[in-house]
Order: sequence, then structure tokens, then C-alpha cells
Amino acid sequence: MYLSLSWRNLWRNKKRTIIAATSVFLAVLVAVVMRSMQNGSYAYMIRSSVKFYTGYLQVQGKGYWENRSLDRSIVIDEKQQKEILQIPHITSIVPRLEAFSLVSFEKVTKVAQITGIDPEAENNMTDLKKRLVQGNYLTDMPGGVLIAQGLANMLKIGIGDSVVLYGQGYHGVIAAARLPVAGIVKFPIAKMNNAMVFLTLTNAQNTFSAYGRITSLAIMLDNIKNQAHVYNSLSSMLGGQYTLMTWQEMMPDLVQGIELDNASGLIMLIILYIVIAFGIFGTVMMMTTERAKEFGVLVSVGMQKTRLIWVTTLETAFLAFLGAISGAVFSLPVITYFHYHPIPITGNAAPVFELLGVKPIFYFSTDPWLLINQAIVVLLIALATALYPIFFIKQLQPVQAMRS
Amino acid sequence: MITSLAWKNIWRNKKRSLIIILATALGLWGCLLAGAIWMGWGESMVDTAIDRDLSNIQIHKKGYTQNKEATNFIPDGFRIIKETQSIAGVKAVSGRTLIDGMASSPISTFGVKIVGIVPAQAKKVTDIYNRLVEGNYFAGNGRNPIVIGKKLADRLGLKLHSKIVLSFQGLDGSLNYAALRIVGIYKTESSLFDQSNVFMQQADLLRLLNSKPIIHEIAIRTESARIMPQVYDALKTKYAHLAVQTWKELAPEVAFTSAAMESFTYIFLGIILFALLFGITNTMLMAVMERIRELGVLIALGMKKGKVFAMILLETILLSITGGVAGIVIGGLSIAYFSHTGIDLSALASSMETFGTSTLLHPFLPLDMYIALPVMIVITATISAVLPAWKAVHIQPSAAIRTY
Amino acid sequence: MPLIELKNLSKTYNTTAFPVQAVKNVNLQIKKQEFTAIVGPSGSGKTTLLNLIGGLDKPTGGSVFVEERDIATLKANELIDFRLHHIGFVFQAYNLIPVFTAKENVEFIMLLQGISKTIRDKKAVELLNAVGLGERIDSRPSQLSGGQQQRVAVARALASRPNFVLADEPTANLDSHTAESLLDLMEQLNKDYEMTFVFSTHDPRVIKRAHRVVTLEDGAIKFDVGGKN
Repeated sequence: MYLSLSWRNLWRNKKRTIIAATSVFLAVLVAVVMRSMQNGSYAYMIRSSVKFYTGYLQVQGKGYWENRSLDRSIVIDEKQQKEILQIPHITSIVPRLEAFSLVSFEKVTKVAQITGIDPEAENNMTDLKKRLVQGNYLTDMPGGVLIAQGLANMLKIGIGDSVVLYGQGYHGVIAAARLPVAGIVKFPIAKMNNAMVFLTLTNAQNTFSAYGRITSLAIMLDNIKNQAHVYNSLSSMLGGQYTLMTWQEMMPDLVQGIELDNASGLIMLIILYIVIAFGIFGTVMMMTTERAKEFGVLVSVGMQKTRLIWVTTLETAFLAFLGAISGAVFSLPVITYFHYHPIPITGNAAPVFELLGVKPIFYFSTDPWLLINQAIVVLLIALATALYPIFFIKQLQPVQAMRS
Repeated sequence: MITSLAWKNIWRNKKRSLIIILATALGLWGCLLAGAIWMGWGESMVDTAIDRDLSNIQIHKKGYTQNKEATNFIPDGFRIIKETQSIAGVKAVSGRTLIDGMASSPISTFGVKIVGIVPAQAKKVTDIYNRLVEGNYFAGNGRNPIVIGKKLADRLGLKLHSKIVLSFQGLDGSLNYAALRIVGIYKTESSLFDQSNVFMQQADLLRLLNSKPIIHEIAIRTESARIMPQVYDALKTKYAHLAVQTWKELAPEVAFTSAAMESFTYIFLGIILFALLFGITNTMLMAVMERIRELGVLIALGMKKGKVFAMILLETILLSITGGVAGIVIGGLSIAYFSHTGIDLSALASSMETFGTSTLLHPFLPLDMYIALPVMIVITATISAVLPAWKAVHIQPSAAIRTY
Repeated sequence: MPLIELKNLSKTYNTTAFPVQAVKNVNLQIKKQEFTAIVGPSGSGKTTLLNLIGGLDKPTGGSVFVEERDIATLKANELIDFRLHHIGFVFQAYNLIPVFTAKENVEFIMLLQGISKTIRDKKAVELLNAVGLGERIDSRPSQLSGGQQQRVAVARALASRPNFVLADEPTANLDSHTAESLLDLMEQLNKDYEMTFVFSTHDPRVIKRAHRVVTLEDGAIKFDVGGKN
């Protein structure tokens, strides 16, 4: 009966209640859609950046991250690799040997990052084969190189031509090799497209005199949620011998970009919710003051103030829930739609995303917590505005209230 | 008299009106301050990029940006530098000889852009000389001095006065090696820039290249940002055979991010005003309901419907604009305050560095926003007034007087 | 043993200009099943006296005893519960809960007392039948006439099985016919349920029907006629 009293009181002024609930509804809708887009895009950015190159974790030699020196390369033998693969949640491991070197063809010389890869493992993680625009992908057989399209254009080199690598190898040994171009790969990011060369790990180890060595072992996980867990098992397995880097450490730009964007989004939401809170507060205040007399009567005939407070708080909660739940329910199909039909970004915005190394697309998350969190926030706001009737009723003098 | 009546009507229910005024004021204040910070951030990003490297306008040989070959130098570049210096609105001009190369130390190797400059010229165009953390900016007489970024120095494990080896291709296609002495180490907001740009004196670089005097890039600073388009047009007509580009074309992502801040602020303002619309409607609806008897009497006495409508509209606009003006004034004052003192974001320093901005932000709002905002508020108020005014117009005088 | 006993009861309001003594040294005993009207012109202190008896207002002097208990000793919460269990209220403006039906209005007071649903249902219907509104139990106050609303209010006042009913100008908003039938009803209830009624009124129709008439003037008792002393 208390519930029905609250509920009916809410509908004494239908228009007012609908307007107030609509404002909550829209706030939740805006908040959910915005958060869904932000979170979905972050998750996508992280996933695609991680998959693009670094992996979730990397095992490196101590100090390698700072110097990128071949002298800091490491040996992880097959037995160790097997052990690592046995850690639960690790889906694949990708060994690499990376170094900068000059690359020349005929009269042109450029600087490139030379990466020795296990062709199959690399493809499984980064889909390198899909980037192939000409020629063939690398095989395990010692053979040619894959060269990034932009670099190939600058060198004016084609399939079958031989590129000359010339740089510094392990422990300062001069590294030089002449290898045929097997394929040309295309990267969306100009910086990579102008400076990447891939060859088999063995070839790279031979070229740079780093026999049996790698500079990093990238690790992919089944789910980002297991990262901390795997990190712990892995670091206890490896001991203090190596450095274990997380994607957060390897891509601080991405982390900070997300943090900054997230902070801006949260500030927007806070301001929006303040405005909505005032709207609810105003409505609740009107609902309260116009019923002063009624409250006076109820207290006179013997209704305890705490019960009255309960009834009015319920009213506020109903109002907020009505808006919040309808907002959440309505936003669900919206974000679900956009989850399956992400919004591509066009125009001038695209390069900004490419600068961060991600495809310019807005993804939407359908994490149910998005909806739940917003509903909780709105409920808390409503409960905060319900302080007014509580205060009002506590102070209420029935005689005076009935006289008004 | 109508205005003063409307004004008095607003203050009949002080609490209710104050709530909506407060909501408007706080909402707009938060919005404006956040917007000003975003815009200040965008501006800072632009400024640092211009000061560090971009300058206002750059001239290249056509096609250089696609293929950064040493042989793609600007024909007759030195004459053009002289000529441009005398163009009205040009503050300073710096010619740059650019070579891609590799920087090596005993520890590691990195790809870098070698920038050959005339220090006296460059000082007027970019502020690298001001960013030295160690050493000096080509002040001494030593042989083959070089200024490198802190990040590169760390990566290569090099200190001030250490020797660094550069390898690059000469104009004739031959490979050149040069050992240079680090005389200065700079640090800008962008660690990526610091890692990949080294500065040499143009004469030294040309000598090492064994080349006649050539330049690939002419960077031009204009007297002011406002005069830039004019200078740009002049240069474009004069050097139709060259690629003349403003910083906006050179770094579209920076230009976009900066411009996006303003659109972003407008969108945010729109959302907040939309949320306020509901609160205002509710408040005015209550005001009408409360005065239904009084309005009924006025209508019975012969007040025209248009007048009644106008009266409610006027009240709504007055109510909204009061809150709006309060918000704009507090917002404007706080922005003025922070733009004077600057907002120190050094807590977020690493985050800002990623995006190449200074940690001291000077928030600002463009003047047109202060003009657009009151218009937006009046529009919001007008929309909010429709329902309450409709209600007022449709009061049946007889019923209103009898029932209430 | 008197049901209600007022001893030297006084109430002074401190208005901004000067203190107003609304009730002056009132001594009064009301016995069970009395049908008492407290009368007097506007401002004579009737409503204040009724509020003091109902514990809605605090005296500045003297005491109110209900069944020999000094209600001043009750804490705020106890006082509210005391009103709930001992006093029924009928107001001039009916003051029903607008969103509740007639039955729900009557039921609500029993809900506050923690009475079970089946009993509430039964008793609400019974009471509404007793006040002659058996047909309108599902009507909302806005669908009822003034007289009907006041009947619901009377049913509500009786629903809590109070020791007595305080009725503040119950007929002021009603026309003659309606007022008379309401008074018939209350007289009937007085008889059937042995219910004690205390009215504040200046309505001659009520005065005529009252068994005892206490006349107030300037806050003090001037006449006390018809009591069963």
C-alpha cells in the first residue's frame, strides 16, 4: 500500500513526472551511448594495437626497451618456449629479432627496421599475410624479404630484385646481406609503410650475427582479463633473467590517449548529471512543498515521519528508475545496433586515429555493466535529491503545515 | 512594465526559480570551463607543434612529401629564402637541408632525420635552441657539432660531448659515415620528435654530403596567425611550381584535433542545454499551474491569448537568461583567471607529452562563443516555454476561477 | 475517571509584535461517550485547544491528561503513535489522501497500525457501510461530494478504534442538509460505538445537537453547559 501510495502520487501531475523522467531517460541514453562508444573503441583500439604488433606481453632482454640494442638480445630455447606456451590463457608466442639498418637498392639507400620473424607464428598473430599486395609470403626456407610498399616505392625495387641490408650486428659486428624481395606488404600507417622489412628469423639471426637469439618474444592471450594472472605466472617462471613488458608499458601513447579521452568523457557526464540532478531536485521539491498540508494531516492522524519519508523517497526512486530503466532499455538496441554496425570515421579525423595506429572506426561496447553503472549513478543522484523531502518532513510542524 | 511583471513573477517562488537558475549557471559554467580547457589544449598542441618544427608555412619541391629523396631539393632554394624574407607579413625564414639517416652508438642504432640548419635563421623560426637541457646550440667552434634529442641520447646511451655516428646516403648514392660531437641535448614535449630528429649546421652537412648548397624545406614564420592566409596566398602565386603548404596541411591531425575541440564544446553545450530544457519546462509548467486562477481572471478580463503566450515566453526567457548570464559570467571570469595563471597539468605530464602539448594550459574561449551562447539559451528557453504557454493559453477562465 | 482532563492549560504564541494568549488556564474534564462542542467566535482559541488535546501543539502552561497520562511526557515519535492509537481526527477540509479511494483512505490508518489485510478490508467496508457510503468504496475523493468526503473522513477517524474523535469545524464546508445528516451519523456512532466526540465549531447546527457545550472567549472557558457532571 505504501508502494501504491508512492506510485499514485507520482502520477498526480502526469506531465511534470513525464518531463522529469524524460530528462533522466535522455541523460541515461546519452551517457550509455557515449560510454558504450568510448569503451567499445578503447577495447577495440587495445585489441587491434596489441594484435598489430606488440602483443599483450613481451619477454625482452634487460634494458632492451631503452636501447633497442642487439647486444641486449636473449636466447629462449625451444624447451623454454614450450613451457611458456603451457601457461594457461597464453594462445601464442611470437619470437622476433629487430634492428635498424640501411637498406639499399641501386642508387637509393633508406633506413628501415629489419624484423626477423617466424612467418607462421607472425601471421597467426598479426595477419601479416593479409597485408601482402604483391609477391609471396615468407616461408620457413631461407629466402627473401617482405618489404613495405612505401619503402619499396622509394627504393624503386620490385619482386625478385635484391635489396642490400647494411648495418650493425650483435656485439658491433658489421651486418650485411643481399636478399631477394619475395613480397610487398602494405601498412595503413605511413611511418611503418615507409620503413619495414621482414625476413625469416634464421636469416635475420645470420645477418646480424645473433645466432639463436631474439630481441623479443611477443605473447598473445585469450582475454585481456587474464593479463595480470599470466604476467605473474610468467614472471615467476622467468625469474629475474628477463624483462617482462606489458602493452601498457610498450604503448604509453595508447594508454594515455585513452585516459585523456576517458577523463574528458567523464567530466562531460558529471556536468550533465549535475544538470539532471537539479532537474530532479526541482521536481522533487515541487512534489514535496505542494503537499505540505497533506503531510501535516498524515502526521496528525498518526503516521510516523519515517514512514512518510519512506513514501516520498520511494516516489523519487520511482521517478529516477522510470527514467533510468527506460533509458537503459532504449539504449540497449541503439548500442547493439552500433555494435554490429560500427561508425566509420571519415574526413580529417581519420589521420588522427591512424597516428595512434588504429583503424578510424567508432566501436560500441555492449557490456551490461555500462547500463548497470548508469542506472546506479542515477539512483544515487535520486537518493541525493530525496534528501530534500527528508529534511522537509523532519522539520514539518503538522499544525502549521495544515494551516498553509 | 511587462518585463518587470515577468521578473516579479519569477521571484514568487524563489526556491524553485533559484534551482533552475543554479542548474543553468552551473551547467554552463562547467561546460564553458571544460570547453575552454579543451580549446586551450588544442591551441597549445598547435602552438608547440608550430614552435617546435612546423612553423606557419613550409615550401618544398613538389612531390618531396611523398618521396623524401635528398635529390628532391628546392631548385634555387637560397634565392627563394632571400625573396621570401622581404614578403610582407613574413617574420622569419629558415632553410633546412634534410637527409634520412641512421644514428649509431656502440650500443644501438636508430633511424633519424638529419636536419641541416643555419642556427641564426633557425632560432627565429623554431624554439629548439630554447629547449636545451644540456650543452649549447652551436655556440662553440668545435668540428662537426650536432644537437640531438634527450630520448635519442638515452636510447643510444650517449652523453653530452659523446661521439655519435651518422650514416646516410649522399646525393650521388654513395654511403657516407660521419662521426659528430654532441654539443647540445634538447627535450621537447614530444619524445617521438626527440628520438627522431638531429640538428647539424647546414654547412657541415653539405660538406659531409659532398654537395653543392641545397635545401629541401623552407620554414616560414608569419608575423601573426591572422596574416598567415595572406602570406600563404602570396607565396602560392609566386611559387606556383613549388609545394607551398600551411601547417594545417602539413599536420592535418593537429589542425583537426584543435578544430574538433570547438565543435566538441558546441556539441557538449547543446547536450547540456537540451538537458536544461526539461528542467525549465517543468518549472514554468508549475508556475502556470500555480497561477491558473490568476491567469483565468486575466483571460476573463479580456487579455488576448497572444499576450498570455508572450508573457509566459518572456518569463521563461528571463528565467533562463538569468541563469545563463550567471553561468557565462562565472565561466568567463574563471576562464580569464585560469588563462592568466594557466592550469598546471604536470600531474598528467606524461600524458600531455604524448600529444605534444605543454603542461601549462591556458584555457580560452573564442569570442563568437560568448555571442552564440546567449542566442542558444534564448532558443532553448523559447522551446521550453511552448508547453507551459500552450497550457496558459488554453485555460478556460470560467473553470479556472471556479475550480482553483 | 475522565477520559480527557485539562489542567490549567495555557498557550501563548509569541508573534513578532506582542505575545498572544490563545488559551488561558483552561480546566476541563471530558468523560467517555460525551458529545461535546467547544464553541466560540473566530480567534477564541477553539482550534488551539483542540490541537493541544490532540498533541499537535505543545502547551506553554498546564497539562493535558488522556486516561490519566500526561501527554507532555511522550516523545515526538510516541506522540505520533499515541495519536494513531488513541485519537481519531476529522478536519474541516476533509483532508483525505487524494490518490487513494474511499476504502483505501480508511484502510490506510489501519495499515499504519499494522493490522492485517483481511481485517483491514473487512473493517473498511463495514465502516463505509456504517457511514452510508457502501456504494462508493472505490471512488476517489475528487469523485465524491463534500459531504461524502467528510463521511469517509469520519470512517477513517473511527478505523483506528480511537478513544475519542477530535473534529475541527467538521460542518463548516457543508450545506445544511449534508451537515445535518453528518451529525445524525456522528450521533448514531456516539450511541452505537460509545464513541466520544469533541468538536470545535461555531456552527449553530452542531451546537444544537451537542450534549455539552463549552463556550470559549479569549481563550478562557466562559460557559460549560450540559455536561453529565
